[in-house]
Amino acid sequence: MTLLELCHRLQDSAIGTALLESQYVWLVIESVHVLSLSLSVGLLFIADLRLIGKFRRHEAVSDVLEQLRPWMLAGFAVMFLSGGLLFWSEAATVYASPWFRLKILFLILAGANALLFETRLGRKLASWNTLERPPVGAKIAGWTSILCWTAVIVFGRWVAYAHT
Amino acid sequence: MSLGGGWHTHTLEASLLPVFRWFEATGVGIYGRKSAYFFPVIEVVHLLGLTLLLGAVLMINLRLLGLIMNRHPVSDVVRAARPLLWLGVATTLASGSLLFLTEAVKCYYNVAFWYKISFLIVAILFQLTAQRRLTAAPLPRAALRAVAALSLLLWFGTGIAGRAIAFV
Repeated sequence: MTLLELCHRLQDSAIGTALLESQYVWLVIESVHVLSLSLSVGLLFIADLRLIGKFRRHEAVSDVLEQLRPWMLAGFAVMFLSGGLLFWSEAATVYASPWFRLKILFLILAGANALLFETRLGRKLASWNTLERPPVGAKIAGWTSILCWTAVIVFGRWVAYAHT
Repeated sequence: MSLGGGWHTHTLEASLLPVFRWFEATGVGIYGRKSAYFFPVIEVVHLLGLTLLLGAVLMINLRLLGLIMNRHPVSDVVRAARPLLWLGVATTLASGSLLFLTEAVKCYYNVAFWYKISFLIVAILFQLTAQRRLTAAPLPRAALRAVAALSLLLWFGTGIAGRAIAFV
């Protein structure tokens, strides 16, 4: 089965069809998806600003990061869950959208960036935790995160404009 | 339209209709409707501003509720998040005004728009007054929780009503 066939199957499934044809459920899920941006990416931007050294620089990095982390993760969980349901209902439609592919690409880049940060600099956090000027690696990770997530939001919004 | 028939013929809003028509007839409004890219591009900016604004709102309110950064005084966290919050407000207000100009008359007849504007005005006024109190002197815990609940209700109410403009 190709990826496109899988997308068709998802969209044509009972749940996919019911979601797309519902009067309110789809709208509610879409609104949740948009507003949970605040919890996930909004708080992530704040954490990234600390990594770059532009926010709360007198405070330990771990203080900002670890305090925000559970809330961000909850936000991303809501994000992926609601996004997954939206995808289910329109899988074949968005499969063809170049904007959706770009969104996924930047989503993967953002994830890879986070993973790289956590496994490298994140592990040695104790050595640079309280520096007002974070190491270059942390700055790069922070900027990459901000740029990737901005791209995800931009292309994500564009998906809706391109296929209506 | 869920409001009763004729509501716009004898209320305060009725006198605003000519103003809304004027907004829509401005150069920006006309250009925005003609261009295929104006609305989507500005709306993306609006969404990014919203992310920053609501992110900062959450940070402040999670602290007020005692859920994050408890080792730091409330006034400290509020002061730190304040520039991000107002940057978010400035971005969403500027982009939102441009979006409004392209479809002012549609907004006039859209009940969600009026909810959104009401929530927004109260949210900004509340933020301004509450913030000053929060950074001035320590408040009892119950007061902090009440401020947080009201602030979350107002800002997310603005967001939900705003999103609903496209749906009603």
